Amino acid sequence: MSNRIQSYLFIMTSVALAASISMIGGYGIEKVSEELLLLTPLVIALPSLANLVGDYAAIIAAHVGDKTELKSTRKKLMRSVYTALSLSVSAIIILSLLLAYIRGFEIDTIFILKFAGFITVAASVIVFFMFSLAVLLEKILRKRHLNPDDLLTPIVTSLSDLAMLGMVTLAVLVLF
Amino acid sequence: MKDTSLAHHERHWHYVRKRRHARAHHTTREMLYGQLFSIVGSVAAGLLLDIQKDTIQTLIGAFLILPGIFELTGSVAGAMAARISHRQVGTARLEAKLVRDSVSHAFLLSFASALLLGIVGGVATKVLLGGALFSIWISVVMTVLITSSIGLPLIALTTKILKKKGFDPDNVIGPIETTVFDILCVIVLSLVVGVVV
Repeated sequence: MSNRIQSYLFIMTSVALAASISMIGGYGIEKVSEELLLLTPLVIALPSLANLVGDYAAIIAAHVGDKTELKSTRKKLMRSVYTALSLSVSAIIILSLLLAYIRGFEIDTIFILKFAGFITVAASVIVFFMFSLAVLLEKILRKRHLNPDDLLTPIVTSLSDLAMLGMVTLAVLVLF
Repeated sequence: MKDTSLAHHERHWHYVRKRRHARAHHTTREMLYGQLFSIVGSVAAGLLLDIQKDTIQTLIGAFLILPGIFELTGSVAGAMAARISHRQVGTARLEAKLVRDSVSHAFLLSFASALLLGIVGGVATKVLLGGALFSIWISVVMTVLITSSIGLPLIALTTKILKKKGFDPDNVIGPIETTVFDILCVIVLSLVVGVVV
């Protein structure tokens, strides 16, 4: 088999594999779909929550994988990420609740508190967890003489997507 | 100019990494602008999901495959945009050829990966949820095929225009690509499910 075909097969398999990992999170959503679909604000927020943690995980992985960055720079990065994250989370909460209200979903204070609390806590916890995981993985990969740039981003972004969909499943089962 | 020193798969992930690296080295404000655009687009996709939920729900396993479809189309489009953005070609003819080649390469890759993803999704649905393997397989393949045939040329054209206007596509194309594919995937999947079920 020529190198070109082998390379195409490798890309195709890795792209399909990465997408298949995301489907593990989809399984949780499918299992609670009947309950989830009644929660209009959460359905509206779902794609943006998955994208949000994925994007921030990619930013964190790219910075942590850069060996020229120092500990102090990482602290600054986390401050920047949390500042941007707090504004992003607020935008998601406000837009989702507003659109759900327009679509006829009845919103009370308890629901607003639960919804806002869940999104804030879930996003903050996942970003912190991804940061810790990225730092740990970076050390392990460097010890094994592997380039973190090649592995850190796909691992951290896939895990963050999984974690967010898992959190949504858990929230539907326990919180709402 | 083709970079022949790297294998195809190395180039693919190299583009993804390079694009993400470039997006990563931003200030808080730049991060935020991209994020806000992405949030508005993703919330619009969520709204469409809410509107179409009754149709999508009729296919057992539809919510299982949706994150996989998002990931596949986004990953391929991101690599394609980075490929167009990072290659320097001299003439307009060569530039047009680069865009054409990148789109066809990305389209073929999406199609081939969708065939495989459809099997994984179909088997998972059959085993875990008792759904129909073929319905899921055909839904994944058709959704990726239609979404890619609309989205990939659109993203390629946007990347080319941004490059021409003097923007760095690495800084702008990520949120645009996420938004376009999120919205397209939800609309196309609901249409496909309507036909399949």
